[in-house]
This record gives sequence, structure tokens and C-alpha cells, in this order.
Amino acid sequence: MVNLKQFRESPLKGSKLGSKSTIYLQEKPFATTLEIRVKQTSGAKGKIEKVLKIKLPTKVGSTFRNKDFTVLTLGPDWWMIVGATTNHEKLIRKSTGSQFVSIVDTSAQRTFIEVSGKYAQAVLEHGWENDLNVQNFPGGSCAQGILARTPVIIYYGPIGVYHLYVRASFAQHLWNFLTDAATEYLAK
Amino acid sequence: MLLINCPWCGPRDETEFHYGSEAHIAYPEKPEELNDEQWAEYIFIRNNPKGWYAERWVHTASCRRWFNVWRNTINHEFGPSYKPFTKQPSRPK
Amino acid sequence: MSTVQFSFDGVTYHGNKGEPLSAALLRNDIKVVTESSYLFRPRGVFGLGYEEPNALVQIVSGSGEPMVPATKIELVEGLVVKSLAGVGDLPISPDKARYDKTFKHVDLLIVGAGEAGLLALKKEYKKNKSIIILDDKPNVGGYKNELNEKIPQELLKNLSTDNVIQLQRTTAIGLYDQNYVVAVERRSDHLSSEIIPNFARMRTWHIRAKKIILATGAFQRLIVFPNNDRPGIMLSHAAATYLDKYRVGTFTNCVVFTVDDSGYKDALRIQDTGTNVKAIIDIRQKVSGPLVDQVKKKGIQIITGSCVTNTNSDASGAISSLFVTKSDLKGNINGETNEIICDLLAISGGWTPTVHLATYLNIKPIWNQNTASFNLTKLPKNIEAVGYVKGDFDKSTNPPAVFFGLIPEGEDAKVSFVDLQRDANIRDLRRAVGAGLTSIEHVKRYTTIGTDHDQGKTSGTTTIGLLAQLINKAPGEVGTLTFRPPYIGVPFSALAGRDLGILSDPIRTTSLHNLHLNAKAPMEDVGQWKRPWYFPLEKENMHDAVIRECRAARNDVAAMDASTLGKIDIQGPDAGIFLDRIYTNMFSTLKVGSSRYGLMCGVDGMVFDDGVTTRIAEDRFLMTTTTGGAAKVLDWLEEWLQTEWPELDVYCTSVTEHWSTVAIVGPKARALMAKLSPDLDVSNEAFPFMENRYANVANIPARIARISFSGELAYEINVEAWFGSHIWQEVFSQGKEFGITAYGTETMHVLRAEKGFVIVGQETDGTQTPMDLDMDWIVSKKKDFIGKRSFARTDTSRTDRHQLVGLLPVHNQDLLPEGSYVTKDEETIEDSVSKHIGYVTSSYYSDALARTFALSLVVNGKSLIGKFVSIPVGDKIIKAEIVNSVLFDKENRRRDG
Repeated sequence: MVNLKQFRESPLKGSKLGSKSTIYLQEKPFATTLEIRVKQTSGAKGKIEKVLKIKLPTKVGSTFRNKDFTVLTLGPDWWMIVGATTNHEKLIRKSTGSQFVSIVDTSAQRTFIEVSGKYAQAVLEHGWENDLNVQNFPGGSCAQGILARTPVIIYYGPIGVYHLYVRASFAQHLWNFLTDAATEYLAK
Repeated sequence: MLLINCPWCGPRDETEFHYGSEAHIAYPEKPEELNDEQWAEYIFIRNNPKGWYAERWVHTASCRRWFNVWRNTINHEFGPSYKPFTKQPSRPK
Repeated sequence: MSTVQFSFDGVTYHGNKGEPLSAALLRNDIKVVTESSYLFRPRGVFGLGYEEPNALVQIVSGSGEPMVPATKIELVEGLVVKSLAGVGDLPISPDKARYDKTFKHVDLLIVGAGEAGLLALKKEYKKNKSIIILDDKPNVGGYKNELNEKIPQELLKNLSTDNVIQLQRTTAIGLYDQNYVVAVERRSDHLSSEIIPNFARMRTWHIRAKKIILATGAFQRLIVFPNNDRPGIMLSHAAATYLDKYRVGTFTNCVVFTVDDSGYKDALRIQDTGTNVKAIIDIRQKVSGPLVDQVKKKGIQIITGSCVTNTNSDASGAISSLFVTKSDLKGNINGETNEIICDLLAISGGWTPTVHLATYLNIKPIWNQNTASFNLTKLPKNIEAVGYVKGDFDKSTNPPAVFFGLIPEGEDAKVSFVDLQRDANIRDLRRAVGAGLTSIEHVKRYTTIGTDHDQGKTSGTTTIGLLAQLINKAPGEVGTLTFRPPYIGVPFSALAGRDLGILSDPIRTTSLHNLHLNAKAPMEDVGQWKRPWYFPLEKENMHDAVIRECRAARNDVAAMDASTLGKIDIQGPDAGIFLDRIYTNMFSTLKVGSSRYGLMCGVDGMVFDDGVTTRIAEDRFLMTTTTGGAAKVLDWLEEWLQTEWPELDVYCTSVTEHWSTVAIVGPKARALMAKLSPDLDVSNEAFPFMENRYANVANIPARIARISFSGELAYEINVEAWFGSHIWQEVFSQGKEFGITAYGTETMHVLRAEKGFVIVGQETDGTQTPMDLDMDWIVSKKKDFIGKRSFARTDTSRTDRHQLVGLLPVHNQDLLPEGSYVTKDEETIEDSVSKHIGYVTSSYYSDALARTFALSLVVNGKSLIGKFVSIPVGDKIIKAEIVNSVLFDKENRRRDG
């Protein structure tokens, strides 16, 4: 069996920049994701939660995290499960049977940039128009929006670390923006 | 820059939304039974009132959901937002 | 305080670091700073801040900036400025400085950190978690600071706390709906005259605040009388501050002309600096109180009920004396005229609250006769006004006079200035009224008052007051001017921030982008995407490269990166029904594993997008869209699902970037496909046109589709995008023996146009039905779909619509420029004018046809096949024959190899 991983190339080739004391940017490539669409009222929702041992939170912008998965609630019937693969898709399909669920493997659709360090919030605020104040966007929040005119999902995970999910075609543009926005902080 | 209240995501900047013109104009059930004038009315004609207007917006950059909202066309004041196929809140004063 | 060196108009001077350039100019006895824009009259420093109408300079050092008030430039070592008469020069060389912007959400925004703003901060501090207080001066304290008065510590203590962002040198330039304020911070010009690397020179703050407190203060305004523009005539608060706070010490004899008690306060400050205040001229008949007593005690003469009626100048143009006469509040002069020698005339025409921000929201300030000012009294919820802007001025013993100046006639009218920067005067105002104008908005446009760089900060209320007098109304009846953002002049670079160069718009790239760059392919912009245009060999031009690429695709095998096509995963038990309603043709009947080309229209029946959609499973389709249409189509699908057909169980998910798509095209594509995927039966029988197979390609799991956009035998290999570059390289290494050739968008266009395949957006502009494009075959008669009803409208069913046809130039090497008009068959340009019947949409040289050809939309084109038309190009006519739009392989014999 050929190990296919050797043939993969991520949009930013694992780029990193900066230091944790100011601002640190790093591509964390090859995260796997499934996008799930299911109505809140559907019995299938509970079956998915049971089979993957996760929660699909009801409120848009809220998240669930365990050691295997990070679940981001992107819409009232729309979740992105980071860490899930097509094997999990099979498990879900088996458990939900004929009940209607949309499951799409979008692993290569986006790449993932981690933004951390003392000035992480300041750097993001140069392009992200939504509120990042911690009282309004506490740890464990996510939001989908526009950063540097690019569609981005921001997940605010462990304190001080932002996870940016960006569509692969925009990744280099976003990286260029972030490194430019970081310039002044890196010089500190 | 308007601040628009998405019924699912809360208040967010206008840049995340797209405008959908007048609300509550349904696709005719039997288009073939409409005469040209009625069909043209459906496609092309919309109200453009001065004052409160029930209109459609879609939260394109976030939850991608369509919703309706009351907006005052004079001063851009917003009234309540409401989900499609739910009861329309009364016209704000 | 340290001394720094600066240059003004090529001469080196010294000044104190951090003081306003205007102060340094005065100390260096530069009274005449510039000439006025239109009448070329000498002008000097007049104000203290952004109200300055005269002393504008061009900054030459650092980034350079045209038209900056000298009052707002903080002196730094090495500053180079030059004077300008109204018009600045944009620096030609690129600005190397950085600019940025930032977005903030706060509970409270306080605009202005003068006494009123600081009091508001103290009051509101505990109630708000996050606060921004911004101010356009280097320090807090505003007016009090300029008076050298100490700010109590209890007003300052909250500034340096975690939940307060204090921004100095920051000006709110606009207030927009739902409490959105845009402010510009000047971050480095006060630190260095040179560009500071890696540091943003300016930052634009985009602030959304739950509550806004406007503490923007007020500006002093001028008084109109003949020759009121001479250097040495200054607003009294500015004059006193230059002498008292900045110790410029240039003036010997001062006269104060006032309508309010400010003049008295400033007279005392001026007198204290050693400048002799010879008199206070007060338009009011009677004044009293402690200030007046103090002035009298100092021996300063008070001339009440009087007005300055003219001034004289010395050789430089600066004021040398003034004339004073008795006058009533209407400006009726009566009695003898006295001359007073002076080199400084400090005028106080009263205070104009800085109401601009609120008026951007269409809020009308209200006239208050007691304060002689337009004040913010009625504001929307979540916006408050405090201090001067609300009309809460210092309690003075004597109310200000409602007096704006004299309204002389004749020659005097021409030199009685209302707007110093525009050189607009009483004659202009009289003419406007004489022409029947009574609205302040009309008068503004007729006279240009208030339309220059300073936006009439010192002249606005004066104009309203004088107009009111001329048309016998009260100022409140005339009403205020409409202000528009930005409140001050702002460099475009500050608004652009870092959205310049490659960051000006997102550049989208495929996973193969670097390989295309390595191959030295020039890129074509397709929406935000970069796509390889053609792949030139060394020293090969575009024409030759495209011929070579076309020949490879038609004779051997060629490959292209087709990854940019939009891809949408459509799942659900109702997906088939849904697509039947979206597309003009049937999809519910499509077999699993098969693909079909589809066309979608708007409700108006016009072609909206097209693409190939594949049935992946009974309840799952993969739709492709045009490269530019991907987002629009997804929006469209979701709009119908959510707002019209919620009963359909269907969800759509974008997977555009999840897949990399490499198309291999040409007669030898089958042999190459077999080599790349040994387990796959590639025979036409086992793998026919418009079907899909799953197989490993060079070890990578792939979906292979037999789809052709060229008319040739073709396979599209779809792999997860992170394998894209591996697959591309494998295709080329394994395809070497077949002569594999990379091709770009130009060759793709030639190949598809030879086959008459349209490109939505090139052959269409939103006004073409499928029938116009000769695609009647794709419009189902059996079902309803979006747009169907519109095909029966009289407009869409008329026969003289523009229809898609081919064009073959009579001289087979003539290339028709795309976009050219097609006219009736005429011999000369003159004859062809106004006889256009269509236009060229696509035009290429075809290697396969050994000639040029074009696609075109022509009125009633299908009925004109075989006829000739004229295409005017420059000064000649190119003749062409109208033919069917399919020019190559009409029988589709090549697609199966």
C-alpha cells in the first residue's frame, strides 16, 4: 500500500512566521473536515451526535470540542466537524439510514492558519470587522465572516489562539495580508 | 455601514450581507396561467416606499440564511428581523 | 522644550519641537504665509486648528502631502514644507510609508477629549466595559489646554486604564448608520519628518459603538468687514494662544474686535504677554461684569457699539491700521471714523459648535438666539452631545451679539470676505440674493462658500447669518448647510490602508499555481482567479504558442488546469426535482455516474450560468459552474431552496477548492489515460462520453469524467486538491511519449469557439435567451423551470432578437477585434454608421481552420446565414460572411477519439 501522504502539498506548504512573544502565524495543513447539514428538528441529528460522541450545538457561533473533534456551528443546520474523515461519514450514513443528512468531505477545500501571541487579536482586527473583544467572543466561539475580503471561519480555541479556516484558493492572499498586518508587531 | 440583525448570528456588518429587495413576493404557483402583464409585475415591479419597508437580506458571508427585516428607508433605522415563513411582525411606529 | 530646524519655502528656520508649524512661522515673523487662491491677496495664519482657511502648506519631507493646515503640523527636526496658494501637488513618486486600518467594537465612544469629553468619561467610566476616547490634538484638555489651564487629575485618571483606548491626533471624519464612526489617526508625522519603516504613518479606525458622546467643541468664527483678510487679522482665541501658550512674541499693538466676552478674555491674555492691547471694539452697546472690570483695570480702552469698518496694510500686505465707527447690530454705520494703528487684529465673531458628525446622519442643528449658534439639541438614542457642541458655553455675564459683520456695497463688497479660502465675498452673496436665491444650499453653490478644503468651518454660520439679514429672516429660518464626510482632508492612502498592490483584491490561485509560474506561463485574470493564459516555449510569442497548443490538442494530447470551475455538492432526496426546476433541461432522469450539460436562466428567461452536472448517487449531484459564476450560482440555489421551496430536502455545499481538475485532451488522451490508470478500462464502449469512473490515477484516488469543452476526446481527472500538483506532474512525465503539451485559457477559448460553444459572460450579457444562442435543444417542453414563462413574453419571442452566429472574414487572415460593431453590408465607414445590427463576442485565429473566425450576436442572425456584413475597424471596413456558429467537426466525430 502506497502511503499517499507523500504526494500531498498544502496551499501554504506549512509556512510559519513570527514569535509567540509578539505574533506567531503558522499553517497547520491537512486538517480533515466534514460539513454536515441536517435540520435541528430531524431525528438524524441525535444519531450523528451519538455515533460520533459529539454535540452539534444549536446556537450559531458556538462550538463543541473533545479529543477527536472540534465541531463549529456555522448555521442553524450547518456544522463543520474538524477531525472527521470519510470513514466517519460512513459511520454517520449507516446510523442515519434513510433520514436526510447532507455530508460533504471538504478537507482540501480549506487550509488552517493558527494565529497566536500577544498581538493576535490586534493583527486580526486590522481586517476582521466583527467583535473580537473577549467578553463578546469568548474562548470556544466561532464566527464565519470576511477577513481581508476573504471568506474565513475564525475559531477562538484555547486562550490566545485563533484558528483561521480559509478556502485554499484564498490562502496565499490571506497569508500575505496577515504577514503584512503583523509587520509592526514583529518589529516590537 | 449598516448593522443588520441576522436572526441566527445577531448584529453584523452590512459587508457580510446581500440585499434581496422587497419581501413577501412569492413565485407564482402557476406562471403559465399569468398574462404577460401579471408575469412582468412579478419579475420587475417592486414597491419603493418612503418609510418602513419589509425587505429581504441574506447573510452571505456567515450562516448563508435568507431572512426578512423591517427597515426605514428615510433614516436606515431597523425594525425587527424575522425568519422566512414566520409571522410578519407589525410595522414599526 | 528642544529646538528643531525646519525649512519653509527653501529657507531654514528654527522652532520648538512639537509646537504647531503656524506658531513657528509667526515667531519667525512670517506673517504672509501664502497668496489666496483666486484673488492672490496676501494671507497669514488665521486660526489654531482644522478651521484654518489660509495657512495651508505642502509637506515635502517624508511621504509628502498636499494642502495641510500649518496649524495641524507638529514641528519636527528636518520638516520641509512649502507654501501653496489653494492648490497642492500630489507627490508623483510612490509613497513608501505604511498605512493601516483597524476595526473596533466598543460600548462607548467619546469624540473629543476636551473638558466636556473628559467629564463624560468620568461619568460614564463605570457603566461601560470598553471605551474609546479620541481627540484631534496632541494632548487632552482641548480649549482649556490652549488657555494653559490645568486639567484636574480626577478627569485624567481613567485614561490610562485597560478598558479605555485613548487616541490623540485622531480625527473622527465620518459618522454613519448604527453608530459607526470612521476616524483617522496620525501616528508618525510628529515623531519624524522621515518615513519610519515598519510603522503605519496613519491608521484608520472603524469603530462601532453602542453609545457615542459627541464632545467636539466649537470653532470661533470670523466677522465680515472690508479688508478683513489681511495677515495679522486672526481669530482672538488663536492669537491669544500663539502669544500666551506658544510665546511667539511677534506683535506690538493689538486691537480686539468682538461680539462676545471671549474677546475680553483673549485681550487679557494678550496684554499679559507684553503685546499692547490698544482697544477692544465691541459691537454690543452695553457690557459689564468682572471680565470687563479687569480689562478696564488693565487700562485697555473699550469701544462699545462699534465696528471695524476697514483696514490698511503695510508693504507686505499685513495689517497696519484699522478704522472704527459706531454701528448697530444691523451694521448701520453712523458717526465719525477713527483710525487705530495696530499689527494684530484679534477678532471674535462668536462660537460655532462643531456639529458636523451629527449632521452626517441628517440631524438638523437648532438655532439658539441666546448663544448665537446652531446647537445639537435633538439627537437619536445612543448619541449624546455635551459641552460647546450642545451650546453649553462658559457662562458669560453678557450674551453674545447676533452680529456677523457688515454688508457693504460697491468696491467694499469685493474685499469683505465671507469665505477666506474661496475668496468669496459680500459681492458674491449679494449677487446670489439678487439672482433670487434664498436657500442656503443654493447660495452655497452659487457663491462656492464653504466648498473648499476647510469646508467653511469659520464661515458657515456667518454666511447663514448674513443671508438671513439680506432676505429679512432669522438665522434659524435659513437653516444650516449640509456637511458631508470626511470632516477634514484625508489622504487616500490612509483610507486604503494596506489594501494596495497584491492586497488590493484577493488573488485566487489553484493548487497548480506555482507549477504554472515555474513554466513561465503569463496569467490571465478570470474574476479573482489567476489562470495560465498560455505556456510559451523560449522566445515564442503568444500567437505561436496558442497555435502550437491548439495543434497538440487537435492532433496529439494536451492538458489544462480546469480547477477554477465552481463546484457545488447537491445532496438530498429531492435533488433531482430541484435541478429540474433550476436547469432548462432534465436532470432527474440522469443515470448515476453520468454527466449532463445544463443551462440555467433567471426568472426573466435570460441565460444565467451553465456547466456540467454529474449524478454521483441517487440523491447526490456534483454541479460545475462557470469560474466567475460559482458564488452567484450557490447564492441562487440556496435562495430558491430557502425562500420558495423549503419543502424540498436538498442542501448545497461549495467544494470548488476541494477538487483539482486536470483535463487531458486530444486523440492520444485515451492512450495516456490508460497509462496513468492501468486498472481503468478506457475503451469507448466501457467508458463512453459523458460518463464517470472512479479509479486510481498515478496511485491517487480520482473521479475521471469524459467531458469535452474542445470537441476532442477528453478526460477530466478530479483529485483532492492537495494531490493536484502531483497529478499534473505525473500527467506530464507519463505523457511525454505522447507529446503532452500544456495549454492555457487562450487555447481553451479557441478550441471551444471553433466548436461554437458559448461562454456565459462572453457570448452573453444577461440579455440572451437559450434560443438566442441557438440552443433551443436544451429547453425542455415537458416541465416548468425558472424562466420558462418568460420565453412566451412578447419581447423574448420576437424574431428580431440578437442571435448567435459565426463570422468568417472574407480575407481569411483578417482578425475582427472583439466588441466590434457588425453593420449591414456597406462599402464605407460613413455608410455603415448607424447601421449596426450586432457585435463580435469572440474572435480568434484558428489553426484547425487555417483562418480567422468569430462568434457574434446579430439581429435576426440565423436568417442571415450566407449573407455578408461589414465590420468597421479603425478607418476600414472588414467584410465577413455570416455562418453557423459551429465551424469545426459539426458531426461530433472527434469526441470519442
